[in-house]
Amino acid sequence: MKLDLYGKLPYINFMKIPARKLPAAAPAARVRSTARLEARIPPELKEIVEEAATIAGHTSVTDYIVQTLRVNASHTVEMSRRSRLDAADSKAFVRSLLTPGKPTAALLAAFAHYRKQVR
Amino acid sequence: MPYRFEPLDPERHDRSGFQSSVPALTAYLQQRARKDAERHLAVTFVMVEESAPAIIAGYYTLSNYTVELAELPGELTKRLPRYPRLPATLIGRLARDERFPGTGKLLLMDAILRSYSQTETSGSIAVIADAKDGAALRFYTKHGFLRLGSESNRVYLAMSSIRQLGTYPA
Repeated sequence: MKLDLYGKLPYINFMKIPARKLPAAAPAARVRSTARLEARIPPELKEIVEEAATIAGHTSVTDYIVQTLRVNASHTVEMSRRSRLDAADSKAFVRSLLTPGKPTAALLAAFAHYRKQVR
Repeated sequence: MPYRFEPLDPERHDRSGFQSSVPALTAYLQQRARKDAERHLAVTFVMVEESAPAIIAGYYTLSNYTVELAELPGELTKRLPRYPRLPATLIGRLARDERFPGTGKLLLMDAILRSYSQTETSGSIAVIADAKDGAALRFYTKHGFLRLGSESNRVYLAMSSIRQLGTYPA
């Protein structure tokens, strides 16, 4: 776009007045169906991975890696959000919920300290 | 020096200056905390000095947790919400800046009290924490946390224990 400055801003025609840039049209949002993940690994590990992929019946090492990563990563994330207790641990846990212990001396001290230090 | 706690706000809090003695906890605050909040996976609360509200003295995260129980006699379970999957609150991470020694218990206390106050709107039977090493385990057990299961390094403090704090005079 050219600016017509005549009669508005005199005596500045020695300055370079850049044509005003219009913002480029926003590129259409790209939907990515895959993302890239790279890792450098020791050659001997690569051999083991290739062997394992064959044993697991995968024709491509990439398929095997993706599958293994998916299972392992989901498990790690899932286990960070829950615990599963066995019968003995469940019983002990529930008993302690129903008959809670008194706050410890350290907890009471921390509580008093908190009330002084925090607004 | 009085402190206050606020939800992490990257516009106001300087994440890049934060320095925990545990690199993973520094990296989490700088690289993942905001993403986790956007995806509603975990909320981060930061502790700041009132006189320097941009400097993060410490932080912790809260998220939902589930304790799955084995089959138990009815008289034990009838008073439990949503048995056999009990809702709890996880302190996923808790870290102070190296320049603010002794503030770990303030972080823990705020996490505990905030978790307790949220039980009014969403059910939770206990605060859970991860005791990553011996020092962390001693820190939590000293404050009344118990081992969650014999195999795990997770610990818990029952909401019913936290409620009792309210009966003690200041």
